[in-house]
Amino acid sequence: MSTHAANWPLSAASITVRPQATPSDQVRSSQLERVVRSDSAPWLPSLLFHLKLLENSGRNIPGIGDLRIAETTANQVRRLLAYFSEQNLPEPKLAPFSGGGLALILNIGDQELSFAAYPGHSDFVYMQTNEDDELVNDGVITLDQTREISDLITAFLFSLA
Amino acid sequence: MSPHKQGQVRLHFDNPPVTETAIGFYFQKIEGWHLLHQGVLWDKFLPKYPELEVLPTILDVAPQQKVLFNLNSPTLRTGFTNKERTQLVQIQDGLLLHNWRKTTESPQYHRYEETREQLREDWSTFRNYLRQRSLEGPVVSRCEVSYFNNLVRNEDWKDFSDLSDIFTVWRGLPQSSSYGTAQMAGFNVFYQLDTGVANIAVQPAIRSSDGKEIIQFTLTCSLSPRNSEDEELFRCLDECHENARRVFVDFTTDKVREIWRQNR
Repeated sequence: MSTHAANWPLSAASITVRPQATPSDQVRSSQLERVVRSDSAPWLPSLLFHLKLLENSGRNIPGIGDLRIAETTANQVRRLLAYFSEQNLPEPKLAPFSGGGLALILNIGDQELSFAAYPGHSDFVYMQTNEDDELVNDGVITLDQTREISDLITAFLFSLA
Repeated sequence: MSPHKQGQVRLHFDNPPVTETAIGFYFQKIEGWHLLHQGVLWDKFLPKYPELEVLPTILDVAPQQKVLFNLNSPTLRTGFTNKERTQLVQIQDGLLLHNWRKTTESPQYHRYEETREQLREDWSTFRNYLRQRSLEGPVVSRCEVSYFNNLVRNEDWKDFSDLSDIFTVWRGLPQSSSYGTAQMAGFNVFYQLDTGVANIAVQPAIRSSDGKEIIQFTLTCSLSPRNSEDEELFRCLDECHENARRVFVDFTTDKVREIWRQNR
């Protein structure tokens, strides 16, 4: 047995962590309730702003008609945006569609992973396509299925490797 | 002079924005304390707090380039809660806090006096445990009272330009072609008071439970005690509470307090 092992756990074991310098280090927040700061990703303030425009006027792109979404649909999409920002994902796109639906689309190269929220539904329809626009994976998922969402995104990101 | 500046104010709202309060003590790390003590200590709290929550560690230091974690005794924040999960005692090497939190099932706000009594019991349990284990009593460096208020979009405010209707210190941004429309705004202010410090943090956020946009308005008052005797610690807490009430009134507008239906 090595000397080091014989001394365990008397030897002072420690690890050094270099925390990411973020403004959140300097601001107090709720100790118990989970909240995600609106500036937790650089792209989040702008997307939240455009999401609000869609809620209020149905227009986030000049020249495009009224694609207004309900507050419940917007809340659902905000929860997913909060999750994306916590996972340090690249900026997703907001894609409203007729009937009051809204999709969040992750693009890497020509590949795409989308999560579509439909009014009156508390789940998302997801769809992954490859560079030839062929369907790779699809299904329905809820926000409580965080492990499954994480697996989907990981599979999407690693499919590029 | 306004009533609150004469120490006469007692705030009461029919619809208060507060969703969580935390009161308690920060102290120097206790020689000989180990994470396993927290498990054994839970047994003492079990009749009152049968549920357990493991919480992210609070780093009670200024932002640093590196943080050392001792693997022989990692620091963990544990929360022991009552069955309803509205009352909670948080323990970590270096702090003990008692929280009240609002839940859907139990939204009724618990006033400071009630929470203080809960903390007094928790603190006594903790000190008794230290004595039983022949550990040194805590040397308290800070007493603290915090209020976490969630201001919900479309209920308490509609647009970031409304901030000046909520906070007296916020004068707003003039509309101009160079500023455009404010996408987001927040601020963090520290005040040195006659006794102690007040920190007001206003931060936009998304509430994970329902996806609603909120402005989280956190008010924290702290004070260093002259010694670690119970009488002094709870006197300091009362002082922090009084400071928090005064700052809250000074910092929020009459208009928003009407929305929260302040009773006079």
